[in-house]
Amino acid sequence: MGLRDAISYLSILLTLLLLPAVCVSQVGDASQEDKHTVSGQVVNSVTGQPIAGALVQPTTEPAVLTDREGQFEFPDAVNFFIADVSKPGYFFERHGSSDLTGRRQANQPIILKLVPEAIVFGKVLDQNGQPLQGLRVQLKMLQVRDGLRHWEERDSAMTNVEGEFRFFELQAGKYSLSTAFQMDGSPDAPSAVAFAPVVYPPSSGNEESALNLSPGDHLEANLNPPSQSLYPVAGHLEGPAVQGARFEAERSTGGTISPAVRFNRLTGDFRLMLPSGSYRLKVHAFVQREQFFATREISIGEAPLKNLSIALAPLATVPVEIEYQGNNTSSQEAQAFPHFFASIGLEEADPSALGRTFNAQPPQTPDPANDSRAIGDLEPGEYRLVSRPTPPWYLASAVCGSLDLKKDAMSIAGSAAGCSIHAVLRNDSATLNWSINPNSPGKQVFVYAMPLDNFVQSISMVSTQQLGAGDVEGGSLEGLAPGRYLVVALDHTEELPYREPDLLQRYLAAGKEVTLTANGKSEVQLDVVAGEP
Amino acid sequence: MLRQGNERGKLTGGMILLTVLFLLALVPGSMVPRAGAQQAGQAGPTTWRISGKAVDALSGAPLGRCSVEIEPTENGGATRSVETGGDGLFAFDGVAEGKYRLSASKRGYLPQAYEQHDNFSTAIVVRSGLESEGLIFKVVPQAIITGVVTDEHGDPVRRAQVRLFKDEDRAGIRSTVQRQTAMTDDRGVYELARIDPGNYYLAISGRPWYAQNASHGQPSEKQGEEPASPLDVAYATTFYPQATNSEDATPIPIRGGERIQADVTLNAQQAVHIRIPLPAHDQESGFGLTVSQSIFGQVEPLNSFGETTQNGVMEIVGILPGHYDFTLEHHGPGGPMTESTHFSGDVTSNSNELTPVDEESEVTVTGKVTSVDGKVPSGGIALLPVHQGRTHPAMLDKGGEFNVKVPPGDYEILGQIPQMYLARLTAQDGVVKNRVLTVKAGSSPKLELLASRGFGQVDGVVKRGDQPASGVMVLLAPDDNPFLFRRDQSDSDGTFTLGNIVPGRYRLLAVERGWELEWANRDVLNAFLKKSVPVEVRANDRLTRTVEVQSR
Repeated sequence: MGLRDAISYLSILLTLLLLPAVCVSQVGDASQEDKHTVSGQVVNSVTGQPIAGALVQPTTEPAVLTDREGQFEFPDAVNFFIADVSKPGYFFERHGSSDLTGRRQANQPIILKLVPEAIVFGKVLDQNGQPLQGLRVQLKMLQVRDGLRHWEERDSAMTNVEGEFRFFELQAGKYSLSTAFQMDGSPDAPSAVAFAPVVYPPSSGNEESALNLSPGDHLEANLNPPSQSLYPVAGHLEGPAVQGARFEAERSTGGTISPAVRFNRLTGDFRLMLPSGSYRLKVHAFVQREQFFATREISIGEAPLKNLSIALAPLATVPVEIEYQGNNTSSQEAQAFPHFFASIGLEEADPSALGRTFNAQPPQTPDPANDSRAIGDLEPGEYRLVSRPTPPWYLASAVCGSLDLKKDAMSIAGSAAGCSIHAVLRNDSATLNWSINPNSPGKQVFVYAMPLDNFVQSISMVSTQQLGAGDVEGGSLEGLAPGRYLVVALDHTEELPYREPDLLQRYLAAGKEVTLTANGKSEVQLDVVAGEP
Repeated sequence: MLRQGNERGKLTGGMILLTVLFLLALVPGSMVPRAGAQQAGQAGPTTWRISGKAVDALSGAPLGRCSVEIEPTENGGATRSVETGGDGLFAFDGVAEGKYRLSASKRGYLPQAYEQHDNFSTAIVVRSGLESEGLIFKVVPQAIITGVVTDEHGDPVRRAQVRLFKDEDRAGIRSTVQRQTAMTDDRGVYELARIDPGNYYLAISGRPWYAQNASHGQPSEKQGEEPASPLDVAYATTFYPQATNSEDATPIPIRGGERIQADVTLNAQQAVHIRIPLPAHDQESGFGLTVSQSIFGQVEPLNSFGETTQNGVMEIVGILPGHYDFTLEHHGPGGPMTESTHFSGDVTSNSNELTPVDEESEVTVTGKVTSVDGKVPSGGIALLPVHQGRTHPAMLDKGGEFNVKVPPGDYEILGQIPQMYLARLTAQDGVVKNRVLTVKAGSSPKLELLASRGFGQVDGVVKRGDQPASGVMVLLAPDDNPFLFRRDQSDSDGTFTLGNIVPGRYRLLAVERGWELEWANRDVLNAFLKKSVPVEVRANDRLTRTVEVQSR
């Protein structure tokens, strides 16, 4: 499990833990409550129309289907809480305006909202309007992960006989479509042709021109990949004899092509077919277990490219030294030397990269006195430091040569990094005590502390049980690195873009800014923000 | 010509596979196809021409933009490729003497070889006195099966699994094998494309999206049977058009290029709960349960059921009444699976309890394989039910011995010993006839098998009068057993090759358009035996025979 996996797993776990917590809270006071009938209606969140045949699933009663008017009824319900509502083509709006208990307004029907799915469908046709069968269409969605926006693959499909594709069960959001590079006929044919990748909308990849899908949207998108002549690119891999090689061509206009390749591992000769254009050719090769890599800028005119010589080199390795400064002697757990919990790594920061994280690995025989590690297999490119130490430990500083890795990305060119990373972990972390202003009833609250000037520190989140009218809720977030934070209380969970300064703007007014100091305790009082700020 | 290896995958995988193959391809030496004139100094032409016209097999219309390839079948050599113009014509000049596989590919058509039937095709031979020009390459278009899966209310069923099965010959025995799968979309629509000619069946399975199969509360001993929940339902695997048993499925014949609409309705039915008391040791050390059902004679595990365990009783939910096979795997303490119990039973709509004991009737078959050269053979054997059911494999131990548990019945004994065949099969406490072992309940059959080396080969020519007959089905039919058939298709010079022949007595015959015959059926075969050639193959024999073509 990688570092990122661990983090996202944690947040999923947190989300899952919340619901049972609510039920437990009601078991306590349910003994005083009489059995009563809970009734309600399931409606479409966009049209307000009732939804017949939706499955309403409480935690303690058998599930039922709604009738023609979308109505349901549970006679003699005790400890009533809705666990789920489902219907093909809809998502359950768990947070926000749906009241999930029949308790608070015992005689009022509860209204449950289902959000309709969005659908994207269309055809892939060649330049003559003929359908292209068996072409892969990829759907990407703009998502916030670890505080940053990423285009992530949401789904992919092969076109059918009519060139049609169809993506359903899509949440509202920003999307883009692309077709894969595909040979048209044999690559050995005298006039080899391929369908070049196209993206839809044409200049997507930036947020403004993405397909913006709202709940219930059915959007038609047709793609016309141009047919392009292919030209052979032939050459030789210099360096060690490799077991196999993988070639990728990044187009200067965006997108990556995996070309058809003939590679002779005995001689190192290769031949691949590409349309004319400018590319960065990337070669991954393996010798025993070691990875080799090469990049080469090439430009293909309307003619074959021959005698290309590409030199393979090992991938870069960056040494990492971790220094632990145990300045807090007050608590037992703070004493524990967190050798193997202080995960630290580098994350790909190039917009075109996949956003993979490479973790620092200890040597085969770790030195008990020093935490020396290395991050290996790094391709040339831009990287950001990531570190998620176990609280109360936090990353106090990290440098590589003159680079401050808490602020700057580091760039790796060739096989050498040119510096080694020195990271300092401290355990004198800060505590944030928060409370919710009264008059925010009927909602579960999610409190987020977003680091403002430190893009290595991750966001912290804690949630409350459902608040009653007049309840004052509060709690604390511990193990935070000293520094500036924006603290917000939301009525829903959200992946917040806390490492995107421009996107963070719209949260500034909704939250409070606090500055935490080493070993310090700070107080903050919050209003709950309804819906997305 | 028989094309072995990945031919089948190539047909179904289409262009993706082609690309992958291409990526993996390793071409030593020059990558530029070698072609053109050779040895210009010698008298007479040393090269030839392969030419013809690609046409749509159904309409006969010429096929433009069709990629046609020739690939030498012997001695390596590069593949050459041309593209047809609007008139469908193709030509390869300067072709050296030899035998070539001719193939075509075009969008909307299946990649295929010249006159292809199953994995056989007619190779083109070029040499003096043979015609390799003016070929008509009938390219078969892909067929498509599409449809809508709805539930009993007419609502589309999303994410239903649609499986396509095809009747195939397995060394003379008809078997029905899965060829493709598809998933329905939000409208319940599925599409299966790139279908080649043959006999097909559709199996559709899914789970009602609203199904509530989990058991509520305790077993019903205290308060009697709890009322069945209306949402405790399941869909039976449904065979087109509306059968719930694969034997009642209606075949969909495909001749090439059809577009068939096959809509299916899935009806939700009350699901049943089966309780299985677990042996005491399983409750501690762990276990795994597989529930299987027979589809087209193949036993396959069910994946849409749930199980819960409470008080030493496992409850299986979400399945429908029917006959199931159960396999309970017992895990050793902290280790991997040690042994398993197989049992089967009819599940009815009255809630059921099944006891996991080995079928009393299961019989242990033991035996030993020796080889003619005195060495202990390595590998395994398998018992393949003649009628239906799963194959029972057994590995040979260091002494060449094996044992395997099977239900009573008739089994073909298959040798799985590299480079060897089973030359002699005898049994104590059991009967082996024509390589079939009859296993009776309560018996303890002991097999003695002799493995031998030296497969035979029969090459030859099919003639029509004194002319070679091209594209004819050639069959080598064993005299005394129903399994050891070998087939080929004659090439353009009438030649054929039948390899890997287990020594024995055979009949060699050649039948024009024999591909649609049920040739493994003795009654069908008898009509052609009169004009057949008897062949006795001994170990390592390499025989040459000429056979006269027969019409149907």
